[in-house]
Amino acid sequence: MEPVLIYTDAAHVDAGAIQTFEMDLAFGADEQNFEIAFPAPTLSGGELLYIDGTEYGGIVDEITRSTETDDVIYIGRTWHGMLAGKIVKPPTNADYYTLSGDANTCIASLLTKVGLTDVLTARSMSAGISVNYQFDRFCNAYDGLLKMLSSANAVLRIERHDGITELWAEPRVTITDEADSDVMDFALTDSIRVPNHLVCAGEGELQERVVVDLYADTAGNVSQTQTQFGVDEIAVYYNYSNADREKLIEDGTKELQEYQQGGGADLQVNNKGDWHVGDSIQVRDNNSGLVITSTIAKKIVKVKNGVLSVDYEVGNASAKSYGGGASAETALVTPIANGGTGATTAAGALDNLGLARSQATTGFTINSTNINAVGNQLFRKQGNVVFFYVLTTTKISFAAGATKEIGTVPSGYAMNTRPCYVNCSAPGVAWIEGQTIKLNPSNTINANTSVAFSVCFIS
Amino acid sequence: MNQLEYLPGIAGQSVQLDGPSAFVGIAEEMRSREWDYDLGYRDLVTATRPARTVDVTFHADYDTADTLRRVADADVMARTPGTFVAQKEWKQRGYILASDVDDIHYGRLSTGLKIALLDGAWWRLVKRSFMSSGSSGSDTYLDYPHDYPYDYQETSYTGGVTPSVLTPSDVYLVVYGPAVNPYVIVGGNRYQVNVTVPAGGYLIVDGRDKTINLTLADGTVQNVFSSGVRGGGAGGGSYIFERIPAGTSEVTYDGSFGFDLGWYEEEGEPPWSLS
Repeated sequence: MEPVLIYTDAAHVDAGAIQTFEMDLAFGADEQNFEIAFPAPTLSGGELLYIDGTEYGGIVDEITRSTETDDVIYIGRTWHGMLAGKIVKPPTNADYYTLSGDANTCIASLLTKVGLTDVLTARSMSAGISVNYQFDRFCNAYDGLLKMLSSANAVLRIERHDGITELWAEPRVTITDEADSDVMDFALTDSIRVPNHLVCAGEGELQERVVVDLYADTAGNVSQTQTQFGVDEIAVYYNYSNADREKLIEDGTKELQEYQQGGGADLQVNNKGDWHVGDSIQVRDNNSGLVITSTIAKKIVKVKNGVLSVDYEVGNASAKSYGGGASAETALVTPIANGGTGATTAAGALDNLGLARSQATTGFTINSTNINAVGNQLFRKQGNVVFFYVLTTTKISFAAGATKEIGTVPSGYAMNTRPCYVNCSAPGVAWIEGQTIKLNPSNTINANTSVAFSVCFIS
Repeated sequence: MNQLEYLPGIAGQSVQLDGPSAFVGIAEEMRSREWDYDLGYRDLVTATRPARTVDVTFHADYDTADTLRRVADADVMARTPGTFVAQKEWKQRGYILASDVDDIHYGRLSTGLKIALLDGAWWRLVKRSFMSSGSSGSDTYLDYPHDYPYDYQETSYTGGVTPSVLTPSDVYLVVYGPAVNPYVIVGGNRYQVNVTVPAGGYLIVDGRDKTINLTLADGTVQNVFSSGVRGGGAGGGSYIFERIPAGTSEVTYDGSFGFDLGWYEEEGEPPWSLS
């Protein structure tokens, strides 16, 4: 059904509906505004424009008229933009503004504080979500609200219905198996090189200023030791003028860690508007095998020729891995001879796989003590498949008929219950007996050899 | 095209484009249909029927051509589209944007008209009347010959409507006064306007234009859009402009007022079987 735009008069009383219009509206990170064009009626500013039953709407702040085309474009703040246009000041004699209690009650308190209750209404019913939050000093009300709810693993919902614009909190949803290249088109960005040197400047003046250099290594670990030089080094200036050395290191570390989570996605979705800013989402490109997990940072809603479409911008990845596609799986079970390109450590092998150390997931346990001379094990879990690698540091020899236990599968999985299967790149046979993964190679495994396994669990 | 008429949007008399003094022939392009679409990998992502232009050849005598030019140009200048009517009942709003004369002969001319068809489809309004319980002859329940303070009757009435098309239809509702906050439930959706319709007045809800207007007994028309209950919008169960679904929908009302329930049936082309 074609979207219908409702307009009000300046007193915010519904005045009519518009069916022929074009809209470009965004909210979330960075922008919370709209541009809507329609030939009639003529508005004078201050009116509300919205689509019933959605969070798409706001107030007209600017009007642009083209003498060349007779087009009239109405520009304004979305509901979210109204919040973003308010600054949360700390109370008198207090350093911070704080809220605690039920999330919906806290939303109501904030709306009252910033003076938006005439147009925005907090849901009176309890959200069942408890918050206890200290707002950043002088943050805007929208960012503050999102952070407050995020601290309680919740998201902000807004909807215009029955003549009111209602705000409430809902638990954050994790979206899986929907943002998949098999079912929709999207652009997925994988940031390979990200800033890895943060030059932090704190309190003091000129040469007396506190300066701290923080570095990230190739695995994303932040320290004060530089490991990347020359063209590999990407530096960023971080200004925190009233921070002492301790605070500068603390906040600078967080800042640099955020840079390490590079990558994101733009998803364009028709007829799907029920994902919300702040929801967690897993985006999977089955061609490259790249999978990122992040949060929805922004929604961009467009209406043209009677069709409403929604773009979702997914923020920096909180987790990233390869292995979503068949080609990637094939690559994963290929042994990395002698640690690949010279790598002889777990971190080195991990880098060869395009993974960061922090992104390895211990999907199940490996009995490293049960196999001789095992150096390191690397894991990652992709859906129902767990990949792991054993990097030997010394030659492994097997007596005739001998077996080695190299791992255990999670409780509940076994061949006679929910079955799982194991594949092994080593020259031999691996199988699962009970909960134990066993290996009986026909010959030896040389030292400094990565052996790749994949274990598939049947749900 | 058999029986094509242009009803001006702004003013003036209608013009028969097929009649004793004018002729449009088959007008193939007006009889054709087209979707604007986006294809996905294995699916149709979007499909809409936006406004489009068609070309038809028009033959007319000078008087008819003059009349058509005046009303058509006035509509374009005023941005008030006229309405093309095919087979006397199938309508589509449009403009006549150009005339390219290619023959003049014995008091008649032949010209190519460029027509903008705005609605993407042809439509007709179908209505059914529902009487109030107090209307004479409408009662199917006990009505005593003497004037008791009240009649024994059901507190709700039911009926049904069945649009002849296979797609949902925009609603058209006329409520005759007196009525206070009248509502009708059709196919599970409650159509309600929180307004008092005085005796002699009537209320029109037009789901095609998305308007709600109250006409008083003296003819004064008031925009009461804000009084229409829209709930959470389409599909929410209380949306005043909810489309009437295809198939048979049950109609429930309290019987305290009379009303006409209409629906706009849409076809991509004027039905051939009526030609």
